[in-house]
Amino acid sequence: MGRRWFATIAIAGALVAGLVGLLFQPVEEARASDAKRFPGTLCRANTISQQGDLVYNMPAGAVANNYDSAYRHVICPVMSDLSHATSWGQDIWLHDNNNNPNYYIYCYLYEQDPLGGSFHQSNWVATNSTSTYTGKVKLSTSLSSYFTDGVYYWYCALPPDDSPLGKSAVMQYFLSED
Amino acid sequence: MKSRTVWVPVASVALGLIAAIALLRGSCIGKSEQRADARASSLKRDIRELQRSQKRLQADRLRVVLASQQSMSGMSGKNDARESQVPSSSRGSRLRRVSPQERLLEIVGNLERYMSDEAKDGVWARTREQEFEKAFKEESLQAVELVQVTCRTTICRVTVDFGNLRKKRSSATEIGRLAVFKGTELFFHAGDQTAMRGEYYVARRGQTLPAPPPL
Repeated sequence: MGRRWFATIAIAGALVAGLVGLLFQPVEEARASDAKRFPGTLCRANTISQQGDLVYNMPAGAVANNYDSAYRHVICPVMSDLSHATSWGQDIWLHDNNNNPNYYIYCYLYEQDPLGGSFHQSNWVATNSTSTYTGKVKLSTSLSSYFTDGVYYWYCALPPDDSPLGKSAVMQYFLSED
Repeated sequence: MKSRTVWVPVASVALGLIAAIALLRGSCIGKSEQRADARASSLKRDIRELQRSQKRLQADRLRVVLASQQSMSGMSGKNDARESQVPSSSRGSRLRRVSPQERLLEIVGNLERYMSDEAKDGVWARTREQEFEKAFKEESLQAVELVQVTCRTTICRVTVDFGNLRKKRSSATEIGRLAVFKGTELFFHAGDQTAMRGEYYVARRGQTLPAPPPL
């Protein structure tokens, strides 16, 4: 009985050692890639005169239009790590709280030339303009990288505050690059 | 007798572990060597490829710069777009590094070649050109004027005069967000920093702009 027990332990020990070795085997080097999530509070007004109409952290981590009569426009910087990324994916989470079908959130993604004069603009993405209330929405777009050392940012138009339903906001945004 | 019964299995455990570790190490070292060899030959291939493409790249870059300069000065260069595409030898090269200025010339040169090479969808092109003409007449754009609009099949070039430089800097993105541009991907080229004009390259709705030369 005792001999069997020791033999079993011996085989199990060898198997465990083998398995541990397999688990710690070096794997193929992963391709350089990166993904980041940013809070809406990083956004700021597109024009300084509108900065006072924005409210931050209501809801938490978001930037919202606190003005009840007109759109307010924000720009949201996207921080990229890979200067030579070949593919990009960008999402933005929004909270469309305006009940008027004529108001909806729309956004563009931009790539800006480091020289300052030229830019690359994505197709626009928008919350559903046919419905009265869209609520929380994720919009996605992408831009193939054009410039050497270009920078990216979102531009979004936030509808007026439609209290008591609530304020329309950029909640967060996300970048993946490969 | 009892002590022998105990030590034999213990020794076999130890031997089993030693054998497993030795096998594992051998396997790891073997794999590492294989990977190193593969990496070395891959690097050698890359170096050979880079050397081969170096001369072609220099010639291509010169051609791109010349084509871009021609297009910016109003001369519609009828270069063969296929010939002037960035050479395939540069694809996948991770070492290519061009300055922002050179890159801009490449992008514009690439778009201009694409336009000159693309066939014209007469119906769509005329309709779209009229849409731009109408939009620039109707929109309140102050001193900003539409100079020229040319459409092909999947792309249009819209040349705008901003009246003055300050206007150009502040209005270029705002104009890009006019209703007539909605649903399109676009690229704006400011051109010469002293010029009042700028060009929008606008993709057809549902299409994307041609891919830029790879970096």
